[in-house]
Amino acid sequence: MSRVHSNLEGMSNCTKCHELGQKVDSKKCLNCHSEIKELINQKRGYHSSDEVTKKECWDCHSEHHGRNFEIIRFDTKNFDHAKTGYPLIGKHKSASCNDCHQEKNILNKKFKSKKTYLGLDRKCQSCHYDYHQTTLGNDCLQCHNYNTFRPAEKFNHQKSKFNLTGKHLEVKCEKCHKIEVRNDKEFQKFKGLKFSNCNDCHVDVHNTRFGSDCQKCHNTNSFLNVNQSKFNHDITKFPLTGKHTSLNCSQCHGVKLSSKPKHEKCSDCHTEYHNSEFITRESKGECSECHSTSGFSPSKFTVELHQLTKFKLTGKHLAIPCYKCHFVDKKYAFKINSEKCSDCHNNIHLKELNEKYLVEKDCLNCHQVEGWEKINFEHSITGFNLVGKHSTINCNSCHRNNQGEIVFNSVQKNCSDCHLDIHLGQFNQNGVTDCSRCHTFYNWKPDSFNHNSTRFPLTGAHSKIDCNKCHKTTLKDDKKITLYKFDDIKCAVCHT
Amino acid sequence: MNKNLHRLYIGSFVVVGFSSFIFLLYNGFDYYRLSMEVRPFSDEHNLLKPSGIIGHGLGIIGSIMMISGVVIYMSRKRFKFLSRIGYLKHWLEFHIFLCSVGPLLILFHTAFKFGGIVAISFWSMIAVVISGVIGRFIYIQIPRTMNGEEANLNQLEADYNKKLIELNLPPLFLNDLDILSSERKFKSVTISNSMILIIKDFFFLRNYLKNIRKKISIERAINKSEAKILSGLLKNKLILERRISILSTMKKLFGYWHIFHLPFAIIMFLIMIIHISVTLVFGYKWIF
Repeated sequence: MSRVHSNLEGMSNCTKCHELGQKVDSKKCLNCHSEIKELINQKRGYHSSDEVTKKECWDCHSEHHGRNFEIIRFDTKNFDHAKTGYPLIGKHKSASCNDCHQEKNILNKKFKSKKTYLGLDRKCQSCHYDYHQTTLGNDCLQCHNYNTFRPAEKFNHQKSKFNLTGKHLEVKCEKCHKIEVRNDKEFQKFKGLKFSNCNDCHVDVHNTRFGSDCQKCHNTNSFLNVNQSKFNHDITKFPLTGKHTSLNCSQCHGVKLSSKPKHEKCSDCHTEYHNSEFITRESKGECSECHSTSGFSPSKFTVELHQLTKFKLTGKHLAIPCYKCHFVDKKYAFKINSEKCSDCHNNIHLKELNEKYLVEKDCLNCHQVEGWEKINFEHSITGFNLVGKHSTINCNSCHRNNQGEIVFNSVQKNCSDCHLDIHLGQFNQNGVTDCSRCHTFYNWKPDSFNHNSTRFPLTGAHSKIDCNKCHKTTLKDDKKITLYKFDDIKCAVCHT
Repeated sequence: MNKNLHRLYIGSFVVVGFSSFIFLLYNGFDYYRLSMEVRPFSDEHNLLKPSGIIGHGLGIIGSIMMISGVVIYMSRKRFKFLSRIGYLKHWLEFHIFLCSVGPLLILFHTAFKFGGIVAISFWSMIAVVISGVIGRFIYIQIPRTMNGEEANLNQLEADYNKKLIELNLPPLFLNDLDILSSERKFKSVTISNSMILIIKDFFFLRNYLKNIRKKISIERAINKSEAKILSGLLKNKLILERRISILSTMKKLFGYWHIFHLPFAIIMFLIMIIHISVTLVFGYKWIF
């Protein structure tokens, strides 16, 4: 007899298994093996399968084959476990029999210490350690399948009370479901997590200053993706006004919005554009003195305020835009140390203007702030008094050359420098024609000409006749001229 | 039964016996080599196990052969109405056949598993078979007539001399034979040393006859066929002389042998009956 039946050895025990006239009666086997009988009655287990019900016990479990005979022996590799009513699926397929069928997994005490395949419970925990330490109930298959424990492939977080959206879909489970040590064993907490408020998991970087409803401003796609329209910045110490309202949060708070910018001074965020030009002011150059949150331009620095500076705006300066004076080298500069016109204005006259005329009042020696065209120049200081018609004519008549350029130094005092000699050099003396010998500044009439001072004084009838009686118009060099000077003043020249 | 028919009779027993042994061994060699613990998982187990179709059948046939072998031979010896049917020698040969092949089938019936009470029967059977072999050896040491009765010394001597005369051998050669044979002495033969003496004489005779054949071949006294006959007669004569010399001892030994052979046979049958009875009671009825 095999070891397990060794107690049945001996002649007196034959009928414990054998039935007279009926070889071995399976009923007798089952009388002892009540656990099998119970399973068969309940139509459970391998012994209730079609493969077994047609057989007698001894067909598989014969006896009298020696003490070491394996009375329970079968092809463990090809055994169809489904016939036990518990099909092997997933990882269970590759497990060896002893992985599950071992004493420590048998809960029923009557099967303990027996080499048996019975006594296992179908509950996962009967073999597997309950990693969740009973916190998630007994039905492991609600979340897990037979293929793998991690990840819990059947678990759908969307069916939980906390739907995963946005970044929560990407985050590792451990981020929220922390792994800790419980009862000296690794434990991951899945149940009992607070999740009604973001702060249950996330650190409130705002220190509750903005309340506890993070979702007013944030969403799960990104902490940085802030719904600005919902955030009331007015509840902060820095209410947003003007241009600040249209800014993106990250422009002040950094890409991660983790920055807590100083905000007492504009320069905490803004670059001090003016290079401390205004540091000497009482306000120490506070931007708000000139600017508002509505924009850097226009400035609050009005003309009235400008009048309080050393450079009061008058004339044309009142009308011109600020940049005309304060935008220098592609940058605004407000502190202009010199008050000379030439500090701002170009001297268009260049060498045409003697520097002595720029002394003291600079351009104002001639010009006025009311306009460049308004000239207030004492021409007499040039040594060329404007008399007669010269005092009435426009400056340009003399001081603008044929190219339209304003000229001063290059303007000579000789009449012929400005006026045309219509006499074609008839009165030229030593290369110079002195118009004043005949003309004054008041008109072109020869008021200062005295015919008598010529070598042909007018007398008699000559004094009464028109000039053109003698001074006929003639052609010289193809130009009409009145001939005033005669080479020969003999009578026969005029009179026949 | 003439000599040829007897040879066929014996030959058929030998053929049946050896072919049965070879067939059974060949048929179940792989199975019988397996350990007891592994056999039930062999495909041949249901056929060759003691309660299998073949195994059980071998047991039944073997048992019937042994029972019938014993019953027939004992009946022939005990019952007068059977004493005139055939020679007792032939009945004995049939008894030996049945009681040799029968245990052989029983051996394969056991599938070489010797356990339980029935093992007593088995080992008794083995003892009976071995004692049978020994008995047969002792039996042939006792000269008998064809009817199995012990031949007297004179009759044996007369037969020998008669055969010598028939051959008309030269006197000188006959003299040499006598000198050679006279060297064998069987004195102080006891039951205990008889077997050793017989074995020793067996080897002596082999050498002796070898030398005689050599001498005949050298002297060319007779032709080859006559030399062969003479050698055979001489062998028979010398064996007979030995048997005559130790006859009384063998008779005593054979008497003791019966005491040994029969009880084992009885034990074997008794336990076999119990074994068969229990088997039947528990429902193992082979094909019936």
